[in-house]
Amino acid sequence: MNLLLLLFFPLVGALVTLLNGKFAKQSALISSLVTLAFALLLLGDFVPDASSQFVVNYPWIPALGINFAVAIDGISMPLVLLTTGLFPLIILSSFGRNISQASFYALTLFMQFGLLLVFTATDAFLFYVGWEVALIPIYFICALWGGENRIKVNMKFFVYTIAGSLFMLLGIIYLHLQTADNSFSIASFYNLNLDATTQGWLFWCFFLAFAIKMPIFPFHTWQPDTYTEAPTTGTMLLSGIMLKMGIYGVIRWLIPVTPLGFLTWGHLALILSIIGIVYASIIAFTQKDVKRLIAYSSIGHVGLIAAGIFVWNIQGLQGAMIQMINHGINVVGMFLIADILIDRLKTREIATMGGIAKVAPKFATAFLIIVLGTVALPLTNGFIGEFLLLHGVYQFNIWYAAVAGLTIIFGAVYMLRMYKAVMQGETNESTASFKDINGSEFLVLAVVCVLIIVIGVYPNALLHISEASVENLINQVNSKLAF
Amino acid sequence: MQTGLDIAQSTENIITSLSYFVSEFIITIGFLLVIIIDLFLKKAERLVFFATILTLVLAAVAYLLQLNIIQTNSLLLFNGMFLHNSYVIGFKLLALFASIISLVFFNQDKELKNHPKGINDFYTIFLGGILGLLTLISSANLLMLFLSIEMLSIASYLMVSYTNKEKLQAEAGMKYVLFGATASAIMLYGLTFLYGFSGTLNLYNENIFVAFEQINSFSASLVLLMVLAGIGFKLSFVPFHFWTPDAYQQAPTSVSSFLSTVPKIAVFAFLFRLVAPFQFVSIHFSTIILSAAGITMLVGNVMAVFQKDLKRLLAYSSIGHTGFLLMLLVLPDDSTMSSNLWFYLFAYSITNIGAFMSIAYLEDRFNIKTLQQLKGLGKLNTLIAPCLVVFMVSLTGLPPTVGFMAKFVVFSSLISETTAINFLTPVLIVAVLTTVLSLFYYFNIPLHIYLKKPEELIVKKKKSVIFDFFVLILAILVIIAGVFPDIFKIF
Repeated sequence: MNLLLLLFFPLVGALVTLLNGKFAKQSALISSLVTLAFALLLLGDFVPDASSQFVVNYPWIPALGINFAVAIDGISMPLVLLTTGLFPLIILSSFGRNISQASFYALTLFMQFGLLLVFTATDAFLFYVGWEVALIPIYFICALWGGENRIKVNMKFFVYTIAGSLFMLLGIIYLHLQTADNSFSIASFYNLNLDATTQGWLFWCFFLAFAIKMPIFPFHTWQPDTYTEAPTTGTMLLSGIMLKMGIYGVIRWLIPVTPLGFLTWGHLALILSIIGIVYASIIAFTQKDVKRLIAYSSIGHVGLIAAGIFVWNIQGLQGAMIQMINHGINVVGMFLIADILIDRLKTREIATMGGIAKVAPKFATAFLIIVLGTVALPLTNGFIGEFLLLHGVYQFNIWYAAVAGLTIIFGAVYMLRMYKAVMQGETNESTASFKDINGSEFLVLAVVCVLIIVIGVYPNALLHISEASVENLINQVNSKLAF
Repeated sequence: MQTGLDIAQSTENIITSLSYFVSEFIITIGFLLVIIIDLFLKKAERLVFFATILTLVLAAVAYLLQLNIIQTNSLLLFNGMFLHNSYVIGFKLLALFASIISLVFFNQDKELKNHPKGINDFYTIFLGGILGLLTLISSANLLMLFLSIEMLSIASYLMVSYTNKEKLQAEAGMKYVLFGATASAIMLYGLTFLYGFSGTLNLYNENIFVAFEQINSFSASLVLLMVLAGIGFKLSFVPFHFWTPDAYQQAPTSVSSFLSTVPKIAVFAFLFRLVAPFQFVSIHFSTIILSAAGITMLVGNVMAVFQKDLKRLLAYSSIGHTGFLLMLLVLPDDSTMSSNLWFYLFAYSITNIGAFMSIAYLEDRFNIKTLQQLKGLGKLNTLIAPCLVVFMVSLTGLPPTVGFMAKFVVFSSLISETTAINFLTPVLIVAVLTTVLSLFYYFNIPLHIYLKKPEELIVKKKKSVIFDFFVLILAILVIIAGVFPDIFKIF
């Protein structure tokens, strides 16, 4: 099974979809399913140790030392699975909506190509290309099919992210010039021994790009607006998969490439992440808009993941790995719930809803399971992730863990409060005729709910994939910090 | 210098030089031929077009053949008037390549074609300009530089005001001529100083630098600034840029496209040879160039944000790109500088000509001139809209287009020099920030195209297959060169 096939199939799918105007939906869905099948085949061949597997390495631009180098290890594999797994769900969830243009689906699949490049690249240049290639389609998806303020909001989003990534580009070029073998490969970057000041600068070059993408407080201001204005498919892509690019970047590039920079500035990054958790949770309390509430809750959850990484121990990092998957699944489910509500009721105001559980029992069940997953109830997927993350933070500093732990309590409060306001109580004029979920919606929500429970009951399968690689990475960085 | 060269030796030099001058002869012959055809044959439009294109292609072939003969060692031709080496030929080929595309563009331009005098005179002027352009690229003597720039300038003045019908157009043409004449005069004045200091105008004569080391740095900087004025006018870097937006907006679109690309190739190809030796003589020189680069990027990009007219927008965008290119001139290593310049100019040329072609097509077919009128276009036309998106992505400098590779190459060659050259780091940061700023206006174009509601009914005219074809080819080229830049990094 070749990794190239997995990478380039979405591109083929995008072309076919574009040329196949009438059956754009269907061909996009089929393409994403085939890509998922490829990913599962790769998973079948995957050996869960610390090695890089399915290595592909061709010279691309030899004059500049750029290679087309991709590989999968225990850290890439879960993200590849997340990307390929969520795409069919995201595409399927747009079926009932009024978007049937071929260009929309072609852009979506094009983005998948960029995302997969980011998660598998072992060449910094290729990583950067994937990073930008994933951005352009999402910009157009949000700008063309979004809500009223989409142009302004999107420009903000776009300018933020490009500004961040250009500094990352400068950092990559600088690192490239320091390598002995004129290369962009991640192995050469890991082998560099730069002094602490330089690494500090480089840390910020990379951190800016990743912090904006995740987003970490105070670089998050683009996020709630963009999530609200984007079409739901766009929001799912952004929150479900794209923000994991930032988290993945921190694990794969930021900390291992600039360990001394991390030593100096990592603590500040950790504090920022924790401030973000508390800040987002408090703001989420006051939100009246369904989508905005989910957006802020997402900032809180991502803050916890970031905190788990910046404490740099095995529990925190393993928690981050599994929580990335969980967050992806849960947030896609949440946004589909929100989209169904908005589509049926033509409003985003929580106050105007109520009593839907009575008229739509299937919808209510799905909603409840997803809410429980998000608030990390034991036996749902969120539990194991947040447990590991908090365990990691606890080892670093008990007070940080105490503050970060508030996120679970806060999350439970505002999520359940929203559930109560939307689903329980008396029906009103608009909610009385609420139609229960139908074909494609049912299918997507069912898959999401099953995943939430399966991962919650048996998280070991996922944890096992990344364990060896994570341990190896931590040892590698710690050995550099020790001298 | 007092005795001059021996006459016999000098004649021999001239005779051996002739064989390297084939392309210039071909263009001169083509130039005369076009005049004659136009004089004696009626309705010879098509014939003249083919004669012109044949001239350019033959000239390019002649250069290609020479490229095989000489490798890297430089030759001075005609007693030190011209330089001849593979870099020079590389830039000449690029200029010819862009000219050939421009020529096809001229041929399709309705505004030029509907002119009562016909388009044939225009081709004559064009060929004259190209001749000046080629001698400019290879000139090794500052007097030759002046002559070439004048040849190119006069041709461009005529081309801009060729279809002079309205008052605004006359104003733009006039601005262009007056600015140009003043800039040339200042440059000539600067050249006389240079001659006075050193007794030579030959760039490859040691005396010119020896003299420079002896005079004080203020006079040296002043002289160089004066020389830069003439060159800066052609490149439209700040503060010599005032003519650009007006001229680009009022000139026929094909002419704007030509002006924004081909003369830049020539002037940069010369400028890098001027800057390289002088920056060791005058330490201020790299600072002057870098500050010009920074200010040019800022002015070009900031002004572009406020533009409503598409051609004006591209005019400011081209000013911004000039600033970016200027940064390259401070690189200490000649061969990396020239190869990076070549690649950036190549990237910029194909993208910019493509963008102008798309705009000409829109103007011609839908009468679209401003951003607002672009609304709803995405639904009507399936080919030109995505191509325009590709060009805009490339001008911004995002992967997977050639514009990204070009910017990447520039950044990577400059970052290693930040410690060696003062003042480079802040200018690089300006470059990054203005790139971000450029998103605002470049992405406005595709956004308006794909916005849903068409504001007014769009007039449809008949389709032009050649335009479609060329725009598509250029768009594909932009992507291919972005993914596989190695194919195009010849020089």
